[in-house]
Amino acid sequence: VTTVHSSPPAAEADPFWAALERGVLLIIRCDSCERAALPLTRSCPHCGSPDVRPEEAGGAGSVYSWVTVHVPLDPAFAADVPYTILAVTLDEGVRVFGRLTGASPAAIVAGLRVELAPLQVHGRTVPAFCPGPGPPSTEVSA
Amino acid sequence: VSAERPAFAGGVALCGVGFTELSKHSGTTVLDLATTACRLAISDAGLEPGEVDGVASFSLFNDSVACQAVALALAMPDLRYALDLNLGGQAPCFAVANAAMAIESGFADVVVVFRAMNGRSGVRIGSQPFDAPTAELRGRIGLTAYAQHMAMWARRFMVETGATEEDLAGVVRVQRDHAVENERAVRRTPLSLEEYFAAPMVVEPYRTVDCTTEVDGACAVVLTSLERARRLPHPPVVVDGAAWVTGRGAGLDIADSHYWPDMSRNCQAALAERLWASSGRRPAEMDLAQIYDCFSSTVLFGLEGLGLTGRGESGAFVRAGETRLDGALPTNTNGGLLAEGYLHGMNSVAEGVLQLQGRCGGRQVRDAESGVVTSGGLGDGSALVLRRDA
Repeated sequence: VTTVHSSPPAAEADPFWAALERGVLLIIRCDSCERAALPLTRSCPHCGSPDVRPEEAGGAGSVYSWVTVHVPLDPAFAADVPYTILAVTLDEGVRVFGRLTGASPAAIVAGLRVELAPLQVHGRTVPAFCPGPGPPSTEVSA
Repeated sequence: VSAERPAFAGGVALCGVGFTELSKHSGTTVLDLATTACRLAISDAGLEPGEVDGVASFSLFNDSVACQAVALALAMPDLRYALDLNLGGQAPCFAVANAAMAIESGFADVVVVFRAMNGRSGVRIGSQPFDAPTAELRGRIGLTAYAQHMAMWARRFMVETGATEEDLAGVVRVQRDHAVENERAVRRTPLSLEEYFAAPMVVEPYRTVDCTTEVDGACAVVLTSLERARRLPHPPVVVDGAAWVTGRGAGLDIADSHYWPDMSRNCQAALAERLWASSGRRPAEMDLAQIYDCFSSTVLFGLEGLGLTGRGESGAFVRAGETRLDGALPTNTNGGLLAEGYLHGMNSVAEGVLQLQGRCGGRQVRDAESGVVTSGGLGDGSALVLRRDA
């Protein structure tokens, strides 16, 4: 299972995007070190083992960082501005990037609990997150 | 991390610098820009192209020319060393270190290192979506440009360290003032705090003025053995130490930050221990710093990551004037990439050399003997410790 392409892929055949159409966020789990990762690679980035398999993530996590785009440096997104992109730490310990939905950027703080809520962006289903239940986590790097 | 100094440290020196004009539209080819900058740098070193036997450079998205093309254009008779790196802003200090390795090992005698690009009128790196393994995961949500990736790191830095927009403004304003004294710089007007906050947002937390200015142009530096450099016109600037890092979790490609554990610390934090050990020097001994500043925030990352200030202290350090010419650590004295122009940090190396040679006129740092130069703002990058020959 892989989504690593060096040229534009037939994306809908790709397991990550296919799962997202079903409302599921796919990650990989390593049978050797038991850690999870994203993107879907054939090798575990934590321990180098080839024994990785796809796993359905729970979809819940907390906000690690975020940006709000005002100038669409790619003209394809000109109609979308301003839009906010979240870096989310899933409860599985995996970082994923997605659009903010269901809340204003002003409501975002680090650690805010969020849930997967895939969104249609220009005809494609993409990762997006909305605020979820629970108090913000307060994790800070050492 | 080995505490031993690499063999080249202390024995190889920078001896010449060359620049083309920096502009929005060069009206000429990248090969012409590269050739001109290299010719000027070689001449500045008091050498002839025929004495140069090594060329090193770096490029992204095929935005430059091969080293062999410049060797041909300058009719170098006997090239023994060529290095064409497929890298961006992580590369300049690494390319210089690599040239120093070649010279120390006897693989080459004189190496010219250049960066040339029509970065404004040609391939614009700053607004390109990267064609890379993880591009699709970012591209479909509209996370497509360099500024957006860097802003994500900047936001986490602000969360963790308490840095503010006022701190970013401080970086920009100091460098604008430096650039007033730099005739090469493309942004040469001071910026008030009000003007900073009135500038349009590009991608929060960055305003237009937090972003580097893309330019057409080229810059080159020349290296040779310290022994030979002592017979050349300018004071030799010794490569005292150097480090490269591809940090664990640097990702599948240049813009991939899925794996990087702590986005409030970049490559400069990851290489700091190795850099200082390689030089046998300490942060407090530096008289100046040229810190890679594609965006304002990376100056704060660099100051803290290299241990030039404490964690969470860089913003106050900058706002107190300590990075000004009369401060404790004059930083990005040419105006940096923010104000001089975006030659991907090759010009930061050049400014470090010119300062330590005492050739910077109205922006000269007094009694500058040692300095640190960095390249890169994400998970991989490089740095140099430079020292004026005693």
